[in-house]
Amino acid sequence: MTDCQVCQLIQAKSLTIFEDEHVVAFVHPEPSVPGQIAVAPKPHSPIFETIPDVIVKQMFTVANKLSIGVFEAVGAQGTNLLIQNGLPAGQAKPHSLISIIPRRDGDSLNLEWQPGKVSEDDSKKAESALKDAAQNIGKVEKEKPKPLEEKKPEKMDIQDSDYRMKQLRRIP
Amino acid sequence: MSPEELKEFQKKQCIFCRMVAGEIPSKKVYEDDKVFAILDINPASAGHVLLLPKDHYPILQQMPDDLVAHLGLISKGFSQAFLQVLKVEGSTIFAASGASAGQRAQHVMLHLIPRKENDGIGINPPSRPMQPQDLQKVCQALKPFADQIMGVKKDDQKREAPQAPAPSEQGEAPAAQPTQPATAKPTGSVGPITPSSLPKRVAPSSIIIPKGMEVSQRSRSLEGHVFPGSEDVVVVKASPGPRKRKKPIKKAQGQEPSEDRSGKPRQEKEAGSSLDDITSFLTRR
Repeated sequence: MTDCQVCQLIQAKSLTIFEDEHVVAFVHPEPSVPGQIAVAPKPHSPIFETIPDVIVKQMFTVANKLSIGVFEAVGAQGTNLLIQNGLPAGQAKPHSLISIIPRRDGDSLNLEWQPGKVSEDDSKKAESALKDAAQNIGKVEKEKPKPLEEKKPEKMDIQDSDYRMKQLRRIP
Repeated sequence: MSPEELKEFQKKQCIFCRMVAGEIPSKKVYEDDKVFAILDINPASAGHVLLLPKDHYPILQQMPDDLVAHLGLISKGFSQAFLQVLKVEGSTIFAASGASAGQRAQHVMLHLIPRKENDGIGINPPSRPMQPQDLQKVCQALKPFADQIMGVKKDDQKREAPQAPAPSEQGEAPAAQPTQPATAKPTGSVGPITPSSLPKRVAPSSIIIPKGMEVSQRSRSLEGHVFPGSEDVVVVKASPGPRKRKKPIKKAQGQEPSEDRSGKPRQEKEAGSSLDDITSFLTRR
């Protein structure tokens, strides 16, 4: 944990611009463009897939909201949200993060890609494989948030001054 | 042309909206009530997926938070599927807002690209390390904007937070009618929740429109309200106003709760706005 540069940055708080219980947003220490922001989960998560669903949700909302500020703060004309997940994708830190990259016309940053040479066969294989796998995507997503929602009323009921609880206690 | 008409017009022109509607054939791989995933026609690699919201939004920043969160979740699911099914070693998740960022289509989309070693796809922005003092300057420039924007978020979180003190809330909600600008904390962390920092309880049917977003003429004619801690406009729809329940509760309850409740109708008469009706209705429940 202590070896992770991102975890150290999160603890140091020197570059933090926003923080809540799940995520931290900080100024990227090695930006491609000045003003680049990184949104990271607080628990150490080496790859994007290891981040719990609740935190993934929060990361995306925070990243999207902060990207609104970038337009005014550094005079950006556009933004990129980028997750580089895994070494082949160019992930530089052993802690998964979303980069918010402020963009301007002629900023000499090239994030475009050339369409790859993908054969019909590969494409069809990928399509059918993903279709099968995608049925689970929805399931995982629906099952996980539910326990959290169920916890909420429990906590509410503990309130002693809640008149509904008083009535419940009277019954036995 | 009103914003709603304009949106409708854009929707008709947008090829992705027509793909969602099934008017144009597409290689659909996933669909639920909010989002739609298809294979890119010019893929960077086999299995390159475009993840789109079903509703038409030109840029990501205009989308509601829960939809953005949902896009994130689904992209995580696809990223997992890439690793498991396509046997790749990584993935790139990429979104562009604005032409300078490389956005081409007028419909929000996330590119989910399976990645392999030395696939030559790129999308790897070079890192240009900056001096610590320069980084601090950037941090200070960004912070006020971040605080301003996330102030809204903080309120949202607190409204969802279950540990909100229920008793004080009952008395507080209708009383603190004028806005108390939430003091932006330096780190933006969510500290202990105090009644004064709680947002007004608004009806579930109300719409919160962020500052600067287009509001249609029709919505404007409805009740407008400033949301505490932000400059958001809360448009409240018709109030339910169920006054029947007031008397039975008074009879049933003897002590503390009745104090709260007896205080409320008085304020209700004073203010009499529909927001008051709704807040008192909610707290009474």
